[in-house]
Amino acid sequence: MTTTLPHIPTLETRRLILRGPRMGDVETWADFFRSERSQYVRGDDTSLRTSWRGFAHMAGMWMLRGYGTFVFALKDSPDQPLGMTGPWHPMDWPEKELGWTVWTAEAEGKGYAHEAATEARRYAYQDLGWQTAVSYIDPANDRSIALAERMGCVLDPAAEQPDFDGKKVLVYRHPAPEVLG
Amino acid sequence: MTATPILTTERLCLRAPHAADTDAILAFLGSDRADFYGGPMDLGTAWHKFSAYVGQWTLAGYGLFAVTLKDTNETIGLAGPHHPAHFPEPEMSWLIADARFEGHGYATEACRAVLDHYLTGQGWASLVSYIDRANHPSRALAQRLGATKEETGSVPIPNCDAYRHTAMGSPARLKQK
Repeated sequence: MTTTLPHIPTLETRRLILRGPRMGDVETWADFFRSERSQYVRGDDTSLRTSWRGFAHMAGMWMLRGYGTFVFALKDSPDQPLGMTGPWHPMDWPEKELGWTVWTAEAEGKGYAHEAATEARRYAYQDLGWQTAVSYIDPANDRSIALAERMGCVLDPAAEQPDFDGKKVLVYRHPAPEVLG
Repeated sequence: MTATPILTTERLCLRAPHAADTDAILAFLGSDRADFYGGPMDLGTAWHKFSAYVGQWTLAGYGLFAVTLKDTNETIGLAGPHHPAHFPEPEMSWLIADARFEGHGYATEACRAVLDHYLTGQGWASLVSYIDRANHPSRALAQRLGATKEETGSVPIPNCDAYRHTAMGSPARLKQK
């Protein structure tokens, strides 16, 4: 007897595909996790033990919640991950988030994160029926703040924050689905 | 779509874990019973850990099965190959979530089904279990399952010994003899 795991959809944008996390992505993710570039989305422990668990958590959220984070890649190199983005809601967080990370410096500055996160937001609103979403951003993470603002997000100082070991983050709220049309 | 096995025994049904198992496993990870699993831990950490166990199925195609009672459908624990990236090979792991399910032989029954599936059914050469030297019940179970302690080789978890399960020592193979 067998049973099937929940299906993870694949989405497409002009240049990118957004697909489920795969084992082949772990090395690039772990390299990112060990680098300075991930400093705003992790604690001090950058061991493979911890980066693996973070990655497997991403895959597991699809199984437990029926949605989760997509890995994005160029359409013509779908096995070479550039980063991740998507709906995210760990059990102890106060509300649903749209998150993103770009894993290599080479993938930055080309608008990939904006293109992927915009499609992930469309998926959350149109396919999942979310009515709102926030993005939690470290106050020193200028690039993510710029992306949130480019996506039309505004600071929501009244929003409850998750517990990031006492560290305060900025809560950017995305435009409502009816505003985006 | 990834197909995952369902294993059945006299009293148990083992399948890939899903959302319905969350309460039982998070209660375990938040309790003193999770001493050898990094616990007791807060809700966020427990969810993260459980979600990672579940996610391994998506990434690797195998993982810890949810162990459920056939009669009541209750989730009583997990058993199966745990394989985080820093382990050199998949590790046969198990837990019984609540004390009221201990002492009935459920862990033995579940582990035998998993070992038979991978060692006999899938042809895996062996499976290792890393067991804390202070975890006497788990060591006794490993020995009952026919595993032998490895005297050499590195162990990726502190304070643990490695116990090796092989098809030769597995219950199915012994029965065939």
